Amino acid sequence: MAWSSQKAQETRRHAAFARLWEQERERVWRLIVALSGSRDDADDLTQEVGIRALEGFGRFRGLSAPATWLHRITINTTLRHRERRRESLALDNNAPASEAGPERRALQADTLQRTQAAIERLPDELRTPLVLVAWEELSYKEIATLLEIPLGTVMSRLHTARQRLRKELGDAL
Amino acid sequence: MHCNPRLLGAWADGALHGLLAWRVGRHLAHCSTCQNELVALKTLNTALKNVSPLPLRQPIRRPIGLIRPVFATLALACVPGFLMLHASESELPGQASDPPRVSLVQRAVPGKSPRKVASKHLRSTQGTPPAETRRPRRRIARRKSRLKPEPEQVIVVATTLPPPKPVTVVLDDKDDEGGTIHIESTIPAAYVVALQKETK
Repeated sequence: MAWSSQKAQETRRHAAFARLWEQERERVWRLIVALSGSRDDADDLTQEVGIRALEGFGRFRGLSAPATWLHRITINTTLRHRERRRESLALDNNAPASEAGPERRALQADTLQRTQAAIERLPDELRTPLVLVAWEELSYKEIATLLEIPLGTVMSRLHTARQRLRKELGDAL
Repeated sequence: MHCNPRLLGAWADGALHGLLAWRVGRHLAHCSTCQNELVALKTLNTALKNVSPLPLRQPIRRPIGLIRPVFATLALACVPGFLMLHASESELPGQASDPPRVSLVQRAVPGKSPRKVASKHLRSTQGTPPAETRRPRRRIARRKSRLKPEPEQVIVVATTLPPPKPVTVVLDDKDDEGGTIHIESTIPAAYVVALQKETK
C-alpha cells in the first residue's frame, strides 16, 4: 500500500517536472548560451541541467517559483562549466554576416572579437549580470532574484562591468 | 541631484521607475556630462548586442485585436440564419411531412368531361380546395373549357402542388423558338393557378 502511494507520488512529480521542463527548456538553453558565450556546448549543458534538476526536484521545497529554481540550477551549472573550461574556452565565431567591404569587414570582425574577448575576461560575478541584461534582457529584479543578491548590488556590478569594458575597449567602440 | 553613473546605467536599461526615474531624467536634461555618459553607454550596449551568441527571439504573436473577432462573430451569427432560411425554403413546395406528389394519368373518356373527372378525383382525395385558390379557378376554368381535348390526349392531374418538371402537359414544338408549353383545360383550375404561381 505504502509502496503504491510512493510510486504514485513519484509519477506525479515526474509529470510536474516534465511540464516545467517543457515550458522552460528554451529559456534554459538561452541562459546557457548567454552565460557560456557559445552555442557549442549549449545542448550538452541543457541536458546536464535537465538531469540535475530532475534529480533535485524531489528536494525542491517551493520557496521560489519552479522556473526561478530551474534557472538558478542553470546558472550554477554553466558557471561551474565555465570554470572548468576557462583556459580552453574558444570564442564562438558565429559573427553576423556583413555587406561591407573586406577591409571594413575585417575591422568589424576585429572589433567584435575584441568585445567578445573583453566580455570573456570579466570575472563571473560581473559578467553574469551584464550578459543577462544585455543579451537575455532580464530586468534588474529578475537578476537579483536569480543571483540572490540585492538590487543595489546588481546596479553596482553592472556599472563596474561597463566601466571595465569601456576602459578595455577604448577607441574600439 | 548630483551625477550618479550607477543610476544613469539603470535609467538607460529602463530599470528605474517613479520618482527616481523622473529625477534622473530631469538631471539628464541639463547635465552635459551625463548626456555624454549616456551616449557612451548606448554605444556600449549596441556593441554588446552585436556580439550576442543568442539567436533572435521568436516574434511575439500580436494580440488578435478587434477586426478578426468581429468578423468571426458575424460569420457565426450568419450560420444559423442561413440554415433556417435554407430549411424553410426546402420545406416550401412540399414539406417533408406531406405525402408525396401523386400524378394520376388517365385516358380521357369520350363524352365525359375530363375536368369533371379530375375534379371528382380531387374531391375524393383532398376535399375542397382552399378559398384563395377557388376563386380564380372559375375564371380560368371558364376560359379553358372552350378548348376541347383530343380523345387520346394524356391528362395529368396533380393532387398537390405539382413539381416543376412534370407539369408539361402538351409540348408544341412546331415553332422555331424551341417549342411552347400549353396547359390544357383538363387540369383543375386550382392546380393551374398553383402551377402559375410556382412557375412565376
